Amino acid sequence: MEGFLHTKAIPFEKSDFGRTYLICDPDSITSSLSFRILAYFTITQKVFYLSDELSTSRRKKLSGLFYNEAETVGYLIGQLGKNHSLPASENPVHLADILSVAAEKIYTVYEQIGGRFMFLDCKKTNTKVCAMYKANGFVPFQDIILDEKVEYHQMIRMLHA
Amino acid sequence: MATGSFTYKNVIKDDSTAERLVAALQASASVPLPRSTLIPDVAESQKRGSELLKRLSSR
Repeated sequence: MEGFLHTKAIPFEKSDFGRTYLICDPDSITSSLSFRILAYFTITQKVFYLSDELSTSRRKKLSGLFYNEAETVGYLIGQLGKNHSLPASENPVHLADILSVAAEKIYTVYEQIGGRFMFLDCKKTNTKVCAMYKANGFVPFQDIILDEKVEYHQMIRMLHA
Repeated sequence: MATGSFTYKNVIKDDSTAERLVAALQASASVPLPRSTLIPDVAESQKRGSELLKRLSSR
């Protein structure tokens, strides 16, 4: 967890590339030096390009869904993590809690400017984590290679009123 | 989760992927949103998180 927060979260914030949210122990927040991070997540926007290889019929079907025949934008939950350095008894946050807060944030933006979906990438070998994402409505639709040849499921969830 | 997700170029490359994308979106629409009982006041929680991040970035 620390690696991302130390090296990427602040540059992302300063460049407005994405926003990182911290879920902290409320009892520790009043302390200026020793607040405890229980979990975090980062949200940004990403474009999905629709390849020229798509048939006309598929392109029309997608354009009906995305109102665009060339690309569409989704909200990426690009980092999501729990502080496992704390014992479980001191960190009651679960994946559903983190996803709930992330979804709440994305829905605030969705209501204001629109959008069709949110998505995330889950390492294919993390079957338990993938199952938890599925249980929370994220459905895999394609596999991609990231971070030095590691295979990930790309999982998507529709946004709707 | 992959940091490469941020820079990866997402492409719906063929018809079968497009079909799976549409099916995934439709399937996901019926699943209730995750709900946290642990964090009842999400807005307040996010506000505190934002303030903490500002403190971190000003160090």
